[in-house]
Parts: sequence; C-alpha cells; structure tokens
Amino acid sequence: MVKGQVAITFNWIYILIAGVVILLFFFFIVAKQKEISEEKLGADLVRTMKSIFTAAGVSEKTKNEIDTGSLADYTLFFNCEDGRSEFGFLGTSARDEDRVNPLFSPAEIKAPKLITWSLPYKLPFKVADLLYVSSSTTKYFAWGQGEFRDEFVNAAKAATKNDLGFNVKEISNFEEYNEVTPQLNFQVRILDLDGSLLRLDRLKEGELVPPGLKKMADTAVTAVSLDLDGHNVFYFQKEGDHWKQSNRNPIPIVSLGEERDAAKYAALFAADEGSYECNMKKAFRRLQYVAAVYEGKAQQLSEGYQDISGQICRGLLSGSADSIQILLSQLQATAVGCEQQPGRCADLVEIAWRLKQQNEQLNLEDCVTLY
Amino acid sequence: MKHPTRKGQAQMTETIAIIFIFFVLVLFGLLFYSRYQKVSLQQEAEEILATKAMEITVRTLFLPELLCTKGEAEPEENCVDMAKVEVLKERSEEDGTKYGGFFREGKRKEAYYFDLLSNSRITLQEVFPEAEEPIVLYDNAKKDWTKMEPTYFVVSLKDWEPDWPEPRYRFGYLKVEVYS
Repeated sequence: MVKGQVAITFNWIYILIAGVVILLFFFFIVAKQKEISEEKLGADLVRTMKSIFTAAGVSEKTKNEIDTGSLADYTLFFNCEDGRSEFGFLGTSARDEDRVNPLFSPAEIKAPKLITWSLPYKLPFKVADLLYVSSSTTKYFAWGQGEFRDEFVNAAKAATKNDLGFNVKEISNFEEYNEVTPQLNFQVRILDLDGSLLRLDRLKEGELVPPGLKKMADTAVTAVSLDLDGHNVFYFQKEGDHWKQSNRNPIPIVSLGEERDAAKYAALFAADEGSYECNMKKAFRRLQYVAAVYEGKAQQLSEGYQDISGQICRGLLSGSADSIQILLSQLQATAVGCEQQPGRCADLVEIAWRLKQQNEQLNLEDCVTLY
Repeated sequence: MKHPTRKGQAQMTETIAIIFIFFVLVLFGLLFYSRYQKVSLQQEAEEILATKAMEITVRTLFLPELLCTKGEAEPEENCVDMAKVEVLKERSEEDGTKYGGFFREGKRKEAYYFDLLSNSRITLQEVFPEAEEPIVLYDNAKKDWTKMEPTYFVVSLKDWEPDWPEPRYRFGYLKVEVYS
C-alpha cells in the first residue's frame, strides 16, 4: 500500500516536472519567436520608410502624404552626426544609415500621416534633392512679413481641404502669438520668417513661449528664426516658459536666394542646428562630385569651339580667370572647405552666382550652355 | 542488490518510448520549422533585392551627374546628357579603371557612390538610330553574387555639339543590375 502510494506520488511529480519542462520549452520558443518577429517588423518598417523616402526624394516639388496606418503608435526618430544620418522607430533596434541623401525633419514624429516634400538644391546647377519630412501632427506657426513669408506659406500649406500640405498657420501679431495652442499636435514649431519675433537681443516680447504651449514637453516646442535678409538662421528650444537659443553663432544659409530656396526651406524643417549643418554637408559633398562632371563638360565644349567663330564661346568656357572651367574648379575647392567648416561657405554663393551669369552669357551668345 | 521487476522494466521501457516519441516529434517540428524559415528567408531576400533594385534604378534616373538640364527650367526627366556620359567615360579611360572610373576615383568617392548605388552595374545602351556598344557607367558587381535583379528603363539621350543649332535626341535604355 505504502509502496503503491509512493509510486503514484512519484508518477505525479514526474509528470509535473516533465510538464513544466515542456511548457518552459514552448514558452522559450514563443518568447524567442516574439523577439524575432518584433525585430523583423522593425526592419520591415525601416525598409519601407527608406523606399518611401527614396521615391519622395526624387519627386521634385511634389508633396506626398503617407498614411502610416498602424505605425501611428510608433515614434519615428531622425538624427544626423558627422555627415551620417539615421532614422528608425523608437523601441526597435532597426536603423537605417545614410551618408548621401539630405533629409530635414523634426527629431521625432508620431502621427497618422507623414508629409514629404523635396526641392532641388541648385548652386547654380542642380546638386541634390533636399527632402523634407514632417507630419500631420507637427504644427508650424508662421510669423513675419514680406515676400518670403507669403511664398513659404503658399508653397507649404494646403490651399484647400483636399490639397496636400504641411500643417501651417499664419500668425501676424502678438495677440495671435499668445493664443497659440498645441491642440492635438505632437509638436509645435514657431517659424519666425523675418527675424522680428525671436531675436532675444531685440524683442522682449518674443522671449516668452506662448502661454498655451507652456504645458507641452520642452522637446516638443521649438522655433526657428531667419534674419531679416534671410541669409542666416537661429534655432530655439523651449525651456520652461522661455526660449533658449541653441546656436550662439548664426548658421549661414548657402543658396542663391531664389524662389523656392531649397536650403532656406530646409532650415525651417530641420530639427536643430546640428541636424541642418550635418545634412547640408551631404549636399556640399555632392556638389564637389557634380561640379567635377560639369568641369569635364565645360572642357569638352571648349574643345568643340576651336575655330574663329567659336572664340567667344571658348573664352567663356575656358582660358580667362573668370571662365566657367576655372569657376568650376574654384567651386569644387570651396565646397571641400565648406564641407569641413560651414563657416567657410560664403564664397560658394559668390562663385555660383558668377557661374550662373556665365551660363546666361553662353545662352545669349548662342553657345551650348553648361547646364 | 534488488533486481528490477518485470513490471518496473516494462514501465521504464514505456517511459523511454514516450520520451523518444516526444523528442522525435519535437525534432520533426524543428526540422519543419527551420525549412519553413529558410524558404521564407529566401523569399524575403528576393523581396529586399527587388526593392533595392527599384531604389537604385530610381536614384540612377535622377542622378545630377547624368540628368539633362535646361537652364533654370525643370530638368528633363528620363533623359541622359551624353556630354556628361562622355566625361564619365573619359575619366574611366584616364584612370585605367575600365568601368565607372568617375564614381570610383579614390576611396572617399568610391564609398560615397557605393552608399548610393551599392553592388550594382549600370549600363547605358543606345538603340536608336543605331545600336551602339553599351557604355558601362558604374560597375561594382559583387564577385561572389548569388542573385541578380536587372531593371531596364527607356531613356532619351541628349547630345549637343557646338556646331549644331539645337540638341539632338537619340533613344536607348539604362540597365541597372543589382547584386546580392
């Protein structure tokens, strides 16, 4: 009897241990599988986003709205350091690195809709497409007067309800500024498009963050200010109820300052000064390579104008100190310096202007143009 | 020493048999699962390659190093500037690097264009008015590649010589082969 009881008890203990071991084995497999699925999902999402950004990058001047669907619960992050940017989803290890394509966006996006837009960066020929990424929950408040504000607001925001566009609202006085509220947005950015609002040294009223934004997290409220002539940019971050200027020295906008100025628009969409400079570096690097191709083209064209009738064209293309070929080699050399030290970019604009004029001159003289 | 009883032996054999069958079943499960995983990984690799091929083709079509321009106007889409192609060809010949020399001048530049065009081979083939020898613009094919995804894209080829009043257009295609 006692022996039988022991046998039964032993059998049950045996079954229990075996059952637990089997259960643990399956729990382990399920947990591992879950981990793998999450990793795979993260990688799939990043790959999908990369394809979207590639397509959006080349869809020049076209705004695209991308429904994120179930991704709306994930936070997409972007950062850029040393000319290398990366993006991914917070909470997953999947990342995508990029050293080539300039992308300007908030540091984080969490939204049911992504909005992408790209503009060609020209110095004076097209160097690269600058891609801007934002979202339906990133609200921009545009402050300022003048042509650029009208141009930016009209270009960026949706003209009608059915149009695609960024979430932009104009504010034109301090009353409207003080009434700014986050509504249901994930983040807010104030765009001071003529430098009259947020230069701390100039305007006391601009020191304070709009009262309606005080409760938002500091990281979710940023501002960017262009100086009066639009050649420099300053970034601000909310710190309690005040604005804190992130960059003490102005960051130059390297562009020809024409309509739909890609570099200036990029400054408005970039998360901060580091991200702006880092992504612009990619464009300056590309400029060196594209200019090298144009230099070769100028050489070829110049060789084609060997007879007397082609003397003017040849003169514009090569030979003189202000010829296109010389300007192109100066452009390359300056772009190298500019990539290393953004403060050394001022000459780029001057050289690009002269190149543009020489190209127009080629056109006037009935020569084959460079670009 | 006490010898095991027949009943005990039978129970032991039964237990071993059950454990054996259990592990055989688990093994079958694992085998089946690993097979399934292998097939799905292969499918995924193919999908990734196809996506990558499409991305590289799109990037190639819009490369400012190749694209036709029209002054301040919009660039001409799906058009390759043959003057730029000539520059790329010349650079390749000068460097002795037969193919894609421009894109692979120096380690820094090579790494840059590798980030952009990866392990691919980009060829430009003129077909009209005359079928010319294909021009290899970039060649960074993997030596030990296992899969290759070719993509073709019809393009116009713009040429403009100093003694022509207007540019002339020919037709051809870009072949982008992406390797994995």
